[in-house]
Amino acid sequence: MPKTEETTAEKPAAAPPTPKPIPMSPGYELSGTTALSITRAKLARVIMLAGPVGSGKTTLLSSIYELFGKGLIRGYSFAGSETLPVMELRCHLSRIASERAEADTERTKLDEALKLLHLHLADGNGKKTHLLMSDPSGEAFRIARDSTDECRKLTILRRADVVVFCLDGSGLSKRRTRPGIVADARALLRSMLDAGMLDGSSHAQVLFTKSDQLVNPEGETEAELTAEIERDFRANFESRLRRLEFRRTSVKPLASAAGIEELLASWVERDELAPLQIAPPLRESSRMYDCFPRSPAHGG
Amino acid sequence: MADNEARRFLVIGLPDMGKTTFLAALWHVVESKEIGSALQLVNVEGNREYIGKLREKWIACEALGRTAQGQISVIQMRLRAAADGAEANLALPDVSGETFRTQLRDRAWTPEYAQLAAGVAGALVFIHPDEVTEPVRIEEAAPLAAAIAPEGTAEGAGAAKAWTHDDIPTQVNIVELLQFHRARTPGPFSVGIVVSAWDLVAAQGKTPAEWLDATLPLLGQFLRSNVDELPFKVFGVSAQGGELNAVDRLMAAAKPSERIQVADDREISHDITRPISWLLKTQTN
Repeated sequence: MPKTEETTAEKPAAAPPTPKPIPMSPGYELSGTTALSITRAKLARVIMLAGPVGSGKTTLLSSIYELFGKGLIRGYSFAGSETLPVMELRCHLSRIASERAEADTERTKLDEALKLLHLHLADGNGKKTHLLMSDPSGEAFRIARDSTDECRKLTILRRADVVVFCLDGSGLSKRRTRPGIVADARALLRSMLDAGMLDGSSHAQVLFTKSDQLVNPEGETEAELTAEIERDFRANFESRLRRLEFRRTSVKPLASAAGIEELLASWVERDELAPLQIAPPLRESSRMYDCFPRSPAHGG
Repeated sequence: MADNEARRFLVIGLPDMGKTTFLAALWHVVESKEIGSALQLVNVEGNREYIGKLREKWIACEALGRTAQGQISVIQMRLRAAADGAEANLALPDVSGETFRTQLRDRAWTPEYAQLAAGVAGALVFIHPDEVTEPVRIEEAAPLAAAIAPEGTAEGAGAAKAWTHDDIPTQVNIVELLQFHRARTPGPFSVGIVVSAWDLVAAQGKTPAEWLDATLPLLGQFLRSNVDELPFKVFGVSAQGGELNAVDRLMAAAKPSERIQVADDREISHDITRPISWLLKTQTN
């Protein structure tokens, strides 16, 4: 068959492709898909912080990072992070670089996308653990508290190794706000249990944040202020959970932070860390409601 | 170190961290053989004009200026260890500090840098004490601010400057640059930390490693936690021997090499090749 002009004509040599930049880790909060790759490949703990706006979730996470940055944590060392820029961003309003006169915390926005912060920690023996920490907006928990169906959509709860209910210690010290804070936390925990998102395999913590402010004009001590809440929660929920514990933290001023090392120890401890099984195929989703199959540590 | 395969190391550091001054002084020491214990030059590969000009300025105690962004001059030489006569080829690229700043901002390596980094198993990482940015919390600065500003003149609580990558502290930037390399290096990546202008902090009485832990604790923790993947050692190096405004004192040294101060743990010497010797040693162990 004769060759056509088209087939015989010499094609101009293709220009060599322009080399493209080689992307590094983007540094943003991790999506569910990226976080899954960490939890599958390496020992990791997923920590979910729950609580309303102002309960101290975001301040707690940024303070943990700041404490490592200032070398003020004993017992654990910083071994790396995939989310350094975003943790820096979260600390910005508490630093003089923001040119603010008073420290503040960037509020977590209501967003369907699952966002996790990453810290790689080494203990005193050099054993390393990946911490993947999520602090969804207070609004997300208000919705979950009020609707069992909405709560079921928070599938990250089923992968969380520890669910931390943050109670604002400052608010607990005031008679006017205390009942509402306690009722709110109780309703949220009940909703998660009733929805089956937490069960007898779950580890829940009630965390009294801002514990330095757990004093009131009536002279009640910190222990007195929290003892009744502990009794209430144990009576209502302890039998429905594998583990329920109560902790206190304060992070202001940062140099006098208290309770952080004990909290980290409770998050990374290995005695209950079951080896991760091969998870089902990934779904390409970054939505908080879609990712994270049930952790094998929770019975699958 | 006894083969012909070139040992290539990177020279990492943000702008004004002392990288180029170190290279100029290093070149002088290996070429002049003024320091008996140091690595010594056997021969040079390629063009020596660039490093020669830097050396002229270094000898004259002149400021060397910044390396232009995009300009990468690779200094290649064959060195011999004075102790045992073993030889090795060495290649050190002089990459601008702006290149690393751009990496952090764009979260990417240029193809040129990736090519440079391919197969490299170690680096010198430069930190200048005067260029370290440390995060200061508002609560830490509040007492000072209150003392300076008359009552009622403080900035409003609502006004906030937007965050930029330039606000990231030095220690976080260095951790990030090392994480970039660790992610793309199959085996261990040796890290020689060079605290430049060591004369500025030597009076604190700390070893270089102690200074690093006190000043950049996040970086110190990161290195110690990952020592299997990132073997490291910290050196204090004063490549000029002091501030350039003290030219008469600097020029008073009998040999230019003798104004160099290198702190290696508690040992002080003029041997600026020590960080290179350590990197080479990590490759043969």
